[in-house]
Amino acid sequence: MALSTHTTTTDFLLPSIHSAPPFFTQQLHPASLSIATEQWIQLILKYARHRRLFTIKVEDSEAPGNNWDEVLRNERINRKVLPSYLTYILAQMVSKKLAVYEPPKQDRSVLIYWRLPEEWAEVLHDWVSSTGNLNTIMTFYEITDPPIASPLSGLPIPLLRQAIAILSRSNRAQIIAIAEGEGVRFFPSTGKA
Amino acid sequence: MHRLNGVGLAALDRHTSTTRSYDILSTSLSQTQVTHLQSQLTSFRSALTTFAINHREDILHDPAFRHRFTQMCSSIGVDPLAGPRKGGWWAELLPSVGDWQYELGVQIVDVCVSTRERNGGMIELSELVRLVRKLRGVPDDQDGKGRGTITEEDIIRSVKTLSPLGAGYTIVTLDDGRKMVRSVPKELDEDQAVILALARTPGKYGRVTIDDLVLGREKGGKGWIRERARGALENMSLRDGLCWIDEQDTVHDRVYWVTSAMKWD
Repeated sequence: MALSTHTTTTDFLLPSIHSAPPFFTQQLHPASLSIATEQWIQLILKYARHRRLFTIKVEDSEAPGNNWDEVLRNERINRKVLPSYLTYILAQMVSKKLAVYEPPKQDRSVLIYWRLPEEWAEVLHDWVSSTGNLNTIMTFYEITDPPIASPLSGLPIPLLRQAIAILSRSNRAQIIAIAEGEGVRFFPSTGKA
Repeated sequence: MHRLNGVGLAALDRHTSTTRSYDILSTSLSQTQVTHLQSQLTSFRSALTTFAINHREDILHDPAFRHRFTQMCSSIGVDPLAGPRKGGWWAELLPSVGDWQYELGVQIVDVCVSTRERNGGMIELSELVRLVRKLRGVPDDQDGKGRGTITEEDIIRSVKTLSPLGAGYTIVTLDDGRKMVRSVPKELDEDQAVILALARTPGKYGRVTIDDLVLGREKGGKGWIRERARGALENMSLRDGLCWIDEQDTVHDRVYWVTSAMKWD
């Protein structure tokens, strides 16, 4: 049959390559492998963005019943990504700086950068400005779990820290010790950034 | 006694003068011939120029006309593609045709290179035509006969002009007569050609197994021994990257997918 796209139950459009059986096997020819892996990386990034998923683990490919079923498996052609291949894909994402191992010093779970930390920094600063929170001290919790859903809802703390660190470098944020632990204060852009 | 050549010293003189006269005559004769040829050439040239100017649009846009035109050229022994470097005044006269051909060549390379990831450097001629048409923004009519369209012949001719590049652009004809353009400088051996043809048979969509090749001819296979089939398929996947491997088939340990034969929506 001709390979076609497929819309999942979460309304995500899977590319036609996802219905090709060999896509789920780790290729041995270096060129084929890099093409297929690049497709996987793009697919993972897109899906993560679509569902606002921040983590993918090797164990997601081991058993069904997690957020990644629709992508890591294709029941229609009875194929799934094997854990060994997913390990390789994640390693490639890390080496291309599209993800980082989280927690560090292991290779079975990554934090996905479907937005780069630099981009998150801008999103964060824009949100803080538009909600009138410049110059006030905010807790991390207030940022990642605001009463009104924001582009930052659910942002993992490690990613938030990276974004704040980037803003600090241009003097647009400062980490402050507060009673409940840590807080952060944001400052308006100086224009020099 | 009358002798034509005469006798004595006078004969010698006369002989010399005769030879000289013949020389002069022959020189003037060949001179006339050269002049004549030159004038013919000049008039041919001007006729051709007029023709090219008058029909420039047709040559560039009407595939049928272009075909007849190149046929005419080859029958009179002129190569419309001989560039200035090859010593042709043709390209000076008809730069538009030469440019057109080169431009098409560039577009062919563009399509071949950009689809290489998908097909491993083998593209079916009809697919190439379709993509080049798309690239040129030519409306793809049902019959592909609209003005400004390009034909398989145009592509074949242009692929030939690419051969001096040494990039391996060649046309491969499969068992069943279908043509493919190969853009990787690799020798395609006969077994690979058979596998490519098999992968393209209707209903296969690029899927080939060792059994497909081992089965007897009466069952639609090729009757190869297993090692030959395995060797050819492994070479195509591991060495040439023309196939992708699927190891999750329920029946076969390894299924080979010829990427250039896979159909993508």
